[in-house]
Amino acid sequence: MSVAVEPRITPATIILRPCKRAVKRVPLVFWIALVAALNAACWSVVSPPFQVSDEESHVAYVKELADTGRLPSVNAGELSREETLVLAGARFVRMAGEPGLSSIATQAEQHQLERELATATQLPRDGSENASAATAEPPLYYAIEAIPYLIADNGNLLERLQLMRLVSALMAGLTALFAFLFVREALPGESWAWITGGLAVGLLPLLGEMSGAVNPDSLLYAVSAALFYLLARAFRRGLTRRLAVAIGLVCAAGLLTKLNFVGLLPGALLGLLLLCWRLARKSKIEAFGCLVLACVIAAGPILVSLATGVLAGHDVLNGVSASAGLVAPHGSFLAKLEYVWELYLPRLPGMANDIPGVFTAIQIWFDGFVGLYGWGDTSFPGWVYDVALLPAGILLCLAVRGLALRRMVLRGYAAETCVYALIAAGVIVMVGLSSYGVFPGRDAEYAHVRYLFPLLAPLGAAFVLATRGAGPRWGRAVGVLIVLLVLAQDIFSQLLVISHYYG
Amino acid sequence: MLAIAIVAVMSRSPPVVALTNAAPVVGPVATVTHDFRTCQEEELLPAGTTAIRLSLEALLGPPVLVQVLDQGGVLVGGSVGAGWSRQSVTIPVKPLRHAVADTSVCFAILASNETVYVKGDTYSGAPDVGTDGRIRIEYLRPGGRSWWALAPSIARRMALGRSPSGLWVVFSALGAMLALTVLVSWLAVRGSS
Repeated sequence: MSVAVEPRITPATIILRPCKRAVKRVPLVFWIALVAALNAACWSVVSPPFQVSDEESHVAYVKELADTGRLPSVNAGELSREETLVLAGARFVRMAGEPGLSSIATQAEQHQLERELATATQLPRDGSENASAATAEPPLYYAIEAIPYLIADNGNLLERLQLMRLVSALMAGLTALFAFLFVREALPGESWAWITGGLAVGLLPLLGEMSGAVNPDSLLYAVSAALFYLLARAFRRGLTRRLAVAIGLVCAAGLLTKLNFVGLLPGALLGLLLLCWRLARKSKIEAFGCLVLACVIAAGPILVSLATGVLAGHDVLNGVSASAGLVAPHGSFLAKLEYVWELYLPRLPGMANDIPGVFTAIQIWFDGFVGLYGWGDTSFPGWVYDVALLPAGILLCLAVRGLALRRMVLRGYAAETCVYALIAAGVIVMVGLSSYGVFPGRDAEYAHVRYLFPLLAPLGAAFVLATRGAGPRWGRAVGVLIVLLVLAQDIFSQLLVISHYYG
Repeated sequence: MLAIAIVAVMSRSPPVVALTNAAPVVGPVATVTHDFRTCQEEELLPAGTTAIRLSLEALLGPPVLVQVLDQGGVLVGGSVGAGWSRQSVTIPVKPLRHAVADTSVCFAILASNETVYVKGDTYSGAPDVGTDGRIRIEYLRPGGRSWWALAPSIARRMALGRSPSGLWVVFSALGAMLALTVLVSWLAVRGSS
C-alpha cells in the first residue's frame, strides 16, 4: 500500500503561493511598462532640478496653463518671479556651467534654498507669459502636467516639479508598453523576443532621462509608439472602424503634444491610404468611411482650436512650418538635401563640406545614443564610445541577418515596411531641415538623438531582429545579452550623471 | 558581470580639478568664427596634470590644439578633434612630475562653420590677445580617493538642492534601481526559459 506524500505546508508557503499566483496573473506587458516607468522615476531623482534640456521653459508653460488657464504668448524676457527665484536658489545657471563645483553641498546652503523656496511660494500664482523655447508648442502634455502641479499646489515649485517628473515617468511606461505591443504585432513568433524588444526600449537611458524630466518628448515618444502599434495591428488584422478612430485619436494627440509629430504624418497618411485601399476590396463605403473618420479626428482638435480661438495669439502654425523645415530662409533645395544627407551619412564626392571634420553618423548619432546627458555636456570618456562600437556593430550585423532570413516573409509585408520607412524618413528629414534653418551659424542645432526617439518602436523591432539573426540556438542568449547590455548602459549613465553633478 | 563592472569602475579614482586659474565664467570673452589663436600668460601648471579643460562653447566643436609654454619651449601639448560638445572641451596632456609657474597656455581653434564662444571673466583687467577678458582654464589630474570613498559625500550632496530633500530620497532611488535590476533579471530569465 502506497501512501501519498502531502507537500509540507509552512506559513511561508501560505503567504507565497497566492503571491506567486497573483504575479503570474499579471500580464507581461504590465511588467515591461513598470520597468520603464521605474527607470524614468530613478532618472527623475538623479537629474538635478532644471538640468535637463529646456526643463525651465516647459515648467513655465505648465505654470501659465495651471495658474491662469491661458497658454504662454511670448518667448522672450523674464520667466515668472516665482520660477526666477527658484532657479536662482537652485543655482540653475552656475550648475549648467560648472556642475561639479556649483551644486548645493552644505546644510547651510540647503537652508538658504529652503528660505528662497518659501519666499517664492508666497508670491501670487500669476503664471508665466513667457515660456521661452516651449512657447510655440501645443498644450496637451502641459495640460496633463497641470494636474500634478495643481495637486501639489500647496508645496513649493521644486515639490511640484518632482511630482510632474513622476507623471512624465509614467509616460516612459506607456512608450515601452506600445513598443512591446508593436514588436508583438509586427514580428509574431516567440514571446521571449518581444520581451527583449520591450525591455531594451524601456531601459534606454535617454528615454529615462527625458521621461524623468518635465518635457513633452516623453508623451511624444508614447504617442509615436502607439501609432506604430496601431498601424501594425491594422496591417495584420485589417482596418476596422475602431482602429481608424484609434489612429485618428493618436494622430490628434501627437499633433497636440509636440510640433515634431508632423514628421510622422506623411507615413501615417500613407499607411491609412494603403489600409483603406485593402479594405476597399471588400467594401468601398466602409473604406472611405474609415479614411474620413481617421482624418477628421486627427485634424479635428487643431481645426476646432483655431476656429474657436483657443490658440489665438499662439504661434502654432508658424511652429508647425518651422518644425517641418519649411521656413529655412536660405539655400536651394539641393543645398538642403546635401546638408540633410551629411547630417546623417558620410559626404559624397561633389557635395559641399557642410559639417567639416565630423563623422556625423558616429560622432553625433552613435555617441549621442551611447551617452550624452544634461545640457549635452555629460559624456563618458572617449574610449567608452569606441568600445561600444563593437557590440553595436555585432547587433547591427545580426539584425541585418535577421532581416535577410525573413526576406521571403517581408516581401508579403512590403507595403507595411514602406509605411514604417516613410515615417522614419519623415522624422529624420524634419530634424535635418530644422537644423538647416539655423545653419551655418550652428552646424547641427537639432541633431540630438532624442529627436529621433519617436522611432523607438522600430528600434525595439531591430533588437528583436538581432535575436532572430542569431539563429534558434543562440537567439535567446543574445536576447538576454541585449537586455543586460542596455541595463548596464542605463546604470553607468546614471552613475555618470551623478558623478557630473555631485562628484 | 554587471556587478563586477560596477565594482571595478567604482574602485577607480575620478579625475579632480587640481587647480583653476580663478577666472569665473561670466560670459564670452571672444566669439570665434574663423581660425583663432591666443596665449594666456601667468598660468600655473600643477604637477601631475593629465588634462586641461578650456571653457569653450559650441554645439559641434571644431578641432582644438593646446600647448603650455615655458620661456618659449613647449612643456606639454595635446589636441582634440572636431565633434566635442557644449560648455567645455577637455584636452588630455602628458603629466609632468613638478609644477611650473608663470607659463603661457596657448590654444588654437581651427576654422569651422560653427561659432565658438570662448568664455571667462569679462571683467578681468588684463585681456589677452583677441579676447575681452581672461579665459577660464581648469587643470585636471587623477584624484586620490576611489568612487567608493567618495560615495558618502556624493550621497549627501545628492540629497541636497532639491525638495523634498534628505538622504531618504537617495536611498529610495537606489532601492528603486535595485528593484529594477531584479525585475529585469527575472523577466529576462522568465522570457528565455
